[in-house]
Amino acid sequence: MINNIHPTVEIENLNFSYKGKPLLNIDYLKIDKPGITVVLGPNGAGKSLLLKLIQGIEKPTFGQIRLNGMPVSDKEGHQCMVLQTPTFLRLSVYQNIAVCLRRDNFFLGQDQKNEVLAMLEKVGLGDKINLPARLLSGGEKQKLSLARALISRPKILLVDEPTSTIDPATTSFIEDIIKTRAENDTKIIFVTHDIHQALRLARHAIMIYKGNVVEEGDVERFFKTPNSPHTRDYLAGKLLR
Amino acid sequence: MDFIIEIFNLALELIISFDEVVFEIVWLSIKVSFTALILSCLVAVPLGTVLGLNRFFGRNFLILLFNTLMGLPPVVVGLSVYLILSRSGPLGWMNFLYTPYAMIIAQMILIIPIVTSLTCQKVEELFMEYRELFLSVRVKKSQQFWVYLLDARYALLTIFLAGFGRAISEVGAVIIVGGNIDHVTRMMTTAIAMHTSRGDLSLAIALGLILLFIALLVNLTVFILKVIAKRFGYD
Repeated sequence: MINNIHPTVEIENLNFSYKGKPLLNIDYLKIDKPGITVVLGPNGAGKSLLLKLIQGIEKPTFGQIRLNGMPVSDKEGHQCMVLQTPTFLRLSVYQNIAVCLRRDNFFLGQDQKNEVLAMLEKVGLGDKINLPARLLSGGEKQKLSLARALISRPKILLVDEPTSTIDPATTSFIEDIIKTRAENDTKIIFVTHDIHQALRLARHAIMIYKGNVVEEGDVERFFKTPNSPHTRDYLAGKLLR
Repeated sequence: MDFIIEIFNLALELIISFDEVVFEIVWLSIKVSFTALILSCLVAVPLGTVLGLNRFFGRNFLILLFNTLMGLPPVVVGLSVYLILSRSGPLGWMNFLYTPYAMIIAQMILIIPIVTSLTCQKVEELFMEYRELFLSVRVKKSQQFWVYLLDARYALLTIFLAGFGRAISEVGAVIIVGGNIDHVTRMMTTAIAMHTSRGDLSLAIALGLILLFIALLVNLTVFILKVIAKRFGYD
């Protein structure tokens, strides 16, 4: 059963290899703290891969990921993911969101239509509902991508560097939406390279280096007195890969 | 040279004066080909989508089969349909031979592989493009089917027009199963072949010009659709 208060992600003996080369190895990791957990690490460390495994987009070579005690499945689940490079359907802004609400019927009911419109208002795209989604600017696309993930009210939201290519005002806007959602009992796992953003948002941090979790813990302790030399080097801007 | 100019003038006269014989043939051709296209799409679009979206034993064989059938010789199709619909054939009791229905069936056999193969290719492309997206926001497989078709609407219209082009310009199959009967199964292509062999070149050229005009119209529509799709970010 899904716990409404503190959704939990539990990873056990997880391995993902590509052509025999291990890309991610996690013996045990439990993410059960409320609020936002940031995942930090240099490029190619395996942060996005971890999120894709939790979402069920990629399948582990072996090992288990459980969400609230249930194994991850690509069919059922209460988690959604905001991809690093969002793809949009060749449809309008409205339709791109509506697709995520359709379950058994192709056409949406009036309540669902209102829900879509309210979500678009919330992310500041209320005046662009009929525009083709692919013609939106980079920042607007990220807002739409976030709205698309939020519309089905996931218990766990996985966010992969949504603000890496957008301006500070839009970054702040997106951060506010994510923080509000975290306060409303959605567990958020957020991948970022921006240490300041991690400090602004997170209560819990995880450091991944070369496919291994090298450190995790409360965000204040994590940034003030990191235990792992890799974390120290990363925070000092010395760790590149 | 004067002879050719004279024939062209006569042909243009037939078109401009909306000659009853010419336009009866044109109207029948459009009716038959359009009906064949609609019925083919009802079969081929779901078939192509299922082939593009699913992985199952024998899928590659089916794709190869439909790709091969795209180049099916019309006379072979005509002959096969003739054998099936002839009085002693398995469907002879339907009395479809030498009727527009027989021509629709023959054209459907030519169009279905084209629409199926091209739809399958397009949907497969979209499947690769949207796989992560659908998994990231958990769109149900039953819903994905419709979303793919909606997303591919401009590409599908181009595919339909390719099918229509194949049907309307085809002669081998319809002449065998239709019999080129005046006022019943005389199509533009079969009439052109017959009038040319009789030496009635003005009527043949008039029909040829109209056929060319329809081909131009089809290509122009494809071009406009592509421009619209690109302009609105739907390409």
